[in-house]
Amino acid sequence: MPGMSSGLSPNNSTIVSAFQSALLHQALVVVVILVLLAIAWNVLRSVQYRNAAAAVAVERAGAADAGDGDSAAGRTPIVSMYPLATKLEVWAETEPSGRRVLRIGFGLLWVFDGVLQAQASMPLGMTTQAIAPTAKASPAWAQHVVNLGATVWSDHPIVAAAAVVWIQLGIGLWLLVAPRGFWSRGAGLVSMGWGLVVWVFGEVFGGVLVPGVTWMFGAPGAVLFYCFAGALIALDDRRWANSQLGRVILRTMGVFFLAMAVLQSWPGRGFWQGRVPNAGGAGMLTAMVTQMAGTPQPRLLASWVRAFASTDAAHGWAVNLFVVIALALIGLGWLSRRDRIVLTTVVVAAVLCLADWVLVEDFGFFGGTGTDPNSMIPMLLVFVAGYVAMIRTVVTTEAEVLDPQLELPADLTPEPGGVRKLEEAELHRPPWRERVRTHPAYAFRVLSAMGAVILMLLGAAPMALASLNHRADPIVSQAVDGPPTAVDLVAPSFQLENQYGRPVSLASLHGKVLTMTFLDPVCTKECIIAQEFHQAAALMAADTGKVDFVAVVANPVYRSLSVVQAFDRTEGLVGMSNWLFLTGLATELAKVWKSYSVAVHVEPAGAMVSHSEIAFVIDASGYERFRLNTQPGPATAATEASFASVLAESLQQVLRSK
Amino acid sequence: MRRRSPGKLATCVIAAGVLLLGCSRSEVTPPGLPSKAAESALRIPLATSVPGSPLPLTLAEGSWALVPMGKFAEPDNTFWQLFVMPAPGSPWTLATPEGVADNGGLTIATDDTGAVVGVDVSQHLGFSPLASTVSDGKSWSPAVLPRALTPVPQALAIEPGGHILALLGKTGWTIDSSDNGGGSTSYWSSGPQIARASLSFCRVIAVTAVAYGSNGLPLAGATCSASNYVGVFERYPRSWQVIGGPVPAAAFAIVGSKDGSATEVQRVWTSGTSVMGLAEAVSKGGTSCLFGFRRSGDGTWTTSAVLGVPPSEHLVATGYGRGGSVFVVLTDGHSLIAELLSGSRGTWSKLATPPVGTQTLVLGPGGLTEAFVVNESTLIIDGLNTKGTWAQRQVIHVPIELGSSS
Repeated sequence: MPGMSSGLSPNNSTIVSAFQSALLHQALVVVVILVLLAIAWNVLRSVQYRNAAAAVAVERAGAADAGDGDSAAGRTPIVSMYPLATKLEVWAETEPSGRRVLRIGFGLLWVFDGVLQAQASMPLGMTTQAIAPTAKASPAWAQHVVNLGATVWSDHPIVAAAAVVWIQLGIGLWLLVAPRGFWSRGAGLVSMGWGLVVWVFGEVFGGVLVPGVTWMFGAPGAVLFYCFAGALIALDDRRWANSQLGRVILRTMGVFFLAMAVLQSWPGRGFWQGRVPNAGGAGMLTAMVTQMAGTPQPRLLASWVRAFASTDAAHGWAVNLFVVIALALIGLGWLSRRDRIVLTTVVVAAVLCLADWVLVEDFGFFGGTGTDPNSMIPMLLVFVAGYVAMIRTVVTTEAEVLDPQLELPADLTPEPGGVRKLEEAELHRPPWRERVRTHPAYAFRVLSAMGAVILMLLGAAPMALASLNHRADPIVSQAVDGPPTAVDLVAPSFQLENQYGRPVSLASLHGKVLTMTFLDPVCTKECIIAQEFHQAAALMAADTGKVDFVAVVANPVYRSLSVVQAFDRTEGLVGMSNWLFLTGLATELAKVWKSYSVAVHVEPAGAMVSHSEIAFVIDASGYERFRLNTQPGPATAATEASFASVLAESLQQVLRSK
Repeated sequence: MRRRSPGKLATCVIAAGVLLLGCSRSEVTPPGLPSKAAESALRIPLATSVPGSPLPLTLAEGSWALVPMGKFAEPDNTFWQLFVMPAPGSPWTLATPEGVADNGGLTIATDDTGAVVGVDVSQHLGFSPLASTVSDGKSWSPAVLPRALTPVPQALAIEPGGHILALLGKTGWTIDSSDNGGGSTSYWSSGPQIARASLSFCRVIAVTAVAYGSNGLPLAGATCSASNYVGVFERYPRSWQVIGGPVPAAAFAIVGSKDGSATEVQRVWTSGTSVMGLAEAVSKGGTSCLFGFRRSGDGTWTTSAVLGVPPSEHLVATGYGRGGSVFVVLTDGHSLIAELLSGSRGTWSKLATPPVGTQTLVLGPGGLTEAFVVNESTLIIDGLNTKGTWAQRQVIHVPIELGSSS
């Protein structure tokens, strides 16, 4: 999985500070957006106020004309200046309760997930600690798919990590501020779409392709519940008008729980044993929980998780039996037609989910790279919303709550008991533009939703651009080697021969910008610089004729033409027209090494020749312009691509200053 | 029309999901075990010892030994070392060629004038450097092969004229023939040619050893599948001819019928006018047996007694000494077993249990048997005394640069 990791420590200070700086800058942009929205809101309010005042004036003029002219202008209470707005409250936000549970619940979850994504270790830890462990145990095709996303993340760790923060904050806020209508359903769709992206690339298909998958540890992936909830929020409001949808949700969850019970009871998967006697190790669940207990977290929580691991180790069979029975009964309970059984099941399932969340999933978000609170909370929200949708099919209008004495249009007068069916309100809903113009709360919500969408786009747009940009960010390489050092020195001359035996000197290369390094042709590591040169050459394809990529042999033993030619063949450099691998007699090479302050040592006992790892950028006049540390660090595809970007940028800078 | 219940659809989807979850686990290899794809086609250990060049005047021979050292659990910190005993009775010295990392392994070939060592590839190295010596490893001349050597102990052969045979690729499908230093090179598509030459005797699946015959003609050993034949071939003049013979009948008593089995030539060398070697017959279930073979100058084919090897055991080292004696070191994961095949009698005899950490034996001059015991960067050379016990003879501390390849 070449793209799965940049190979750097998740706490690499260069990356962490760059990430925090990026978040800070983007937060400033967010503040600017909020200010602009606030201004827009004030402008809108002024318009609404003027419209209302004009309407009152017209009303008053009419009244005066009718002989009732004793009211004084300017003393009208503000409340009475929004007659139309107040009346429109009846269409306002008659959101079904089940939907509200989902919308607010998952809105808060997305916001929480966004905040978790802002943890310092996310840029580098996301791929190595959150994605790679699951991906490694998945089939090759899944690894391939996930690697596409992981490569984008590894090549652009700051952009990607920051993007996810804003996308998830944006979706969460969008869900929270848009209770009904087009904006709200759009939020549901986006939540579902982004959830699918996270399920595939972030959770590696929710981990369902990995052996040992279990409901207790989050199968089939926490984000799949976000997707399910998003789809429900995106449904037409009429779907929520009766108890049918709630029953469908609960029955779906019932079938899901039954399936999970079958999976949990499946023999040979390791869940029936707390310990494996022959192997001398822990059973599957004990091992998983013990591993979770090792996550950095408050000591008290760790002790709870360890206690459960001990219990499972001692009574693995009984614990699994309990879980299987509980899952099966919950599943059957939700398939029941009796509301009391359904309610009891909801309560039992909620208790089981919360217990699992604390004792098994260990809250899910500790350790620095936790990206969500795992599956139990979203699952709980879904079935609670299902139950609420099943029992509360009618809603009290906001208007009635705000102003019970309000005189409503005849066709909108509440039914006895203060309730009215949702569909009736839908019929009398005015166009959204009219509501924005006249309804302060609605206008506020639309503006807020627009703000949330802009917030989301603040992350989504850079991420989309990053996924199209195959040039890795220089920051990864700079985290390993630091930035290039600018110099202005005459480059020492040399006289060697190239890989074809033709003489080459520094003077003969004047007129072209060079990058020059020192390379062992029989190296087993560090020779990655050759591929980095190759990639940099590809990035500079437009300037091929103006740039040469030069390496000088850094091995006094293996330095013959046949060796450098063998190296070129195996590294695929034979067809690279501006590639020169220079060699010569040991004395000639030693002179060049010394003049460029490159140390070369032959090591004993089967070790590689050690040499300084440095590259120079030399301008067309023979002056050194940059020195680059070429330590490969973890030598991953990301560091390689990133170094190539840094080198290409340095060369382009020298070319521009020509 | 009655609408399909979303609940039923959900049931189908979830049931399919459960089936997917249930099925997915069977595709995964348990952790800690190599996947089938990762298993090498060849299972011939690289650790070995071979006789050295005969000394002028006395014609007494020294010995060479190749062993891994360092941290065996970490391939990048396992460095192969070459030791030489230039003359009988002289101390062993470190002679590993310098200038290249040898984490992938080393291969040695000797002749009357010196030795050539090949470096097996590791990490980014994609071709095999060579180093030759005529001074018992005091100085080396570098050369290079165009591709990677096959990781077997007899991937190289040299003859006094300076020509080198090299098995290239994972299964030795190509033989490189060149003068020492790569001046003139020719490639033989040896695998297909040998496969054609073997006719119905042997379905060649790998070429596993090369040597020069006493007549100066190239020899090759191969792995034959579903065969009761030992795949030994001689190149004359431009094609390969079968010179191997049948697997001993006793082998089939251990590995069953030839169907599903394979016969692998582990080593092949020349002693006088005879071609000698060590072969292994392997059953489909992993049971195998080892036996020596000899083709005399007059074409007579003889095989030794067979040594049964249960599936739980595998080879650690093989090698040969003067007089046609062959040793093998096996392990069952816990203890070591050493067996000696006497060249004259053609029978196997068990040696005293080698010390823990033994990587190879050396059948030295005068009947002396030595064990090379490795403890990270320390080599302890134990000699087998007349009482049948091992006694320490020499200790060498090797300046291994741990971390230099990782």
